[in-house]
Amino acid sequence: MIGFSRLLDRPARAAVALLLRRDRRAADPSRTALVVVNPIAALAELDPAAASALLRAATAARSAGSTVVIARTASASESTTQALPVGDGELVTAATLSAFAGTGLHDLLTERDIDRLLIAGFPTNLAVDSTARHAVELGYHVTVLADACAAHDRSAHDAAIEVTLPRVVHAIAGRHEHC
Amino acid sequence: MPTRRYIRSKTAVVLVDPYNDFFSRAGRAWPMTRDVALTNRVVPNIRALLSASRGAGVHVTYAPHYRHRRGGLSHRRHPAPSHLLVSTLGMFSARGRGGRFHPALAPAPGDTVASEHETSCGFTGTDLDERLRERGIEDVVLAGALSNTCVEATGRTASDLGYRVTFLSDAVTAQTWRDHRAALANYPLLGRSLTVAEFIAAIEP
Repeated sequence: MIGFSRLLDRPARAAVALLLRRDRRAADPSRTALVVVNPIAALAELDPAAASALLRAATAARSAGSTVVIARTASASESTTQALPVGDGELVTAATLSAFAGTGLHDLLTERDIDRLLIAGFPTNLAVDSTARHAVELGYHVTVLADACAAHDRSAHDAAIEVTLPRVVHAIAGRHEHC
Repeated sequence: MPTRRYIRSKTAVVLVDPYNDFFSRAGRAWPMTRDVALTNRVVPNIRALLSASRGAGVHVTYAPHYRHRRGGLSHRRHPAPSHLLVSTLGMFSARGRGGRFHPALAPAPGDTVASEHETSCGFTGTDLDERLRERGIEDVVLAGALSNTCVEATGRTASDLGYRVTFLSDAVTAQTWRDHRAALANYPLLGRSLTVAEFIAAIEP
């Protein structure tokens, strides 16, 4: 079912996209953090391209002088699995889905005067989504790195990246445009 | 079918943003929300939910969105899509009808109305958690709008805060069917997903 709503939704989304572009304060790498959510080795089997994009993002963030946060959250029994070698970073461990819930992450970022977050990892529709929503609520400028995210199944990843997260976060990078 | 029963004194229905702008014919967002709302009979379903819950002694709590005032969000350093949509469409006006509760979905004596949330989540920056905790609530049952934004965000945070979460799949509406389906796919992963009738049947006798 497509419905009339889809026709009206397009101009509304276009207006919002236009307004979001006005938020053009140049991104200062020292005030930016990359939040790597659940970098587990299994990601390399599930979606090798996403795993390499995640490693590249971590390397790029580090060389730009940005903070790298490695967040482990409650998701999909990853506690027993090996980690992806994303390198060093500030470690946070959340008991639930959002990397901010019950952790010191917001304080850590506030102390460093960090204003912008790049968020990527696993699973797109669970821990990445919850962390991204929570970050927006807390006032950060949030970009989700779509090509460095993966979910248990492709349709869950696509729904988060194409449908819901564009309504929530400021930007989605690395998305294959087909709308 | 659900087997676990909801204990009345420990369960709260949390109704998110039941404003005219989402649920009334003259509402600013109604041209979008009507597709799912009319097909799924969302307003009659929420009415049935409210009346059964109040009748059974299940607490009803409102999680209302910020009512828009000119310049009221100017402190947001990075306005998010939801802030921009609300201000572009002039939704939830503090002065007009849009920011009033839909007459059939309005609070009744004994219900709780939490303080207003500014973005999507009913908990962030509000007294909702405190209001639920002081009543000893353990189960949060969600209805309202929108399926994949405010309702889902409130459910995600409820779960982060340690509540058991239930989403009522036929008591929520969204901007498009795609949005609604995206939410329905996530609900069972974030908590329980039930219809209003299934929830009412699962309240302890």
